[in-house]
Amino acid sequence: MKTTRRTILVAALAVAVHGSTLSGQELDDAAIAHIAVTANQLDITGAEQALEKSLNREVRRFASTMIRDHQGVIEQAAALATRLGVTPADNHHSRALADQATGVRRRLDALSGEAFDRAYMANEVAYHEAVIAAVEGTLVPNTSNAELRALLSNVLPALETHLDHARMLSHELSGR
Amino acid sequence: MAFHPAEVSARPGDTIVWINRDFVPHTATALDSAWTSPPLAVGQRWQMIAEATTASEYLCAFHPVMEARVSITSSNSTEEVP
Repeated sequence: MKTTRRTILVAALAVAVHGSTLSGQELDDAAIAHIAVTANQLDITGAEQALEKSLNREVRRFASTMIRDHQGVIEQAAALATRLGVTPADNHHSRALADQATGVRRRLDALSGEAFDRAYMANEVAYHEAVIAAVEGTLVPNTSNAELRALLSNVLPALETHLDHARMLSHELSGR
Repeated sequence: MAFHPAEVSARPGDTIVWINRDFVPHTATALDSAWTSPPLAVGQRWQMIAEATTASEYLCAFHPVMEARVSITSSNSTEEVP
């Protein structure tokens, strides 16, 4: 079940950003900015669900960090977009991300206690792996504006730390 | 994300300064809870005067995979931890 969910989420993000029908040329800076903001917002929404449902202190600390860090990235991205005159443009890749996240949230909502904690953290591992791959492999290489490209690159260390943190917690929870 | 340097050596009475040069907020928090910085926003700094009992491992309370260490020595030093 866990493997299936991870495979679905990673595949969804891959289709949304890489896609067999998508080439790098289809992504302009406005679309990339929207995908970046959407990806951050979706992790915030997932973290808010975790704060509603989890009683695990470490899971709650992780979720709080996700909200704090990703909100900060959104604010910096929004400020940069405003200064550059780039209006983030909704696109089917952002919508695909959002649709998949909605499905994940519904599945997590049916869980409680340690089952929720394990599933949430497993999803966070998969999600951050997919986002890192998308940022490195597609978003950064296809961003035209140097400042926007730098912002996306500068977020990567935070994403990698989030992934390390998620893996640590996921491993601890799976050992119980 | 990491503390640089990962180990700071200080003498009792030295001032250790943490500066957040990262993209997101951090703290510096002793593992034994003996001391902690407040949350440090991007660009903010916090300092602590080293005491003989300060030596400890510490981490970021927001990102506990970020770990570092303060060592207390007898040599003169003032180090900044970016």
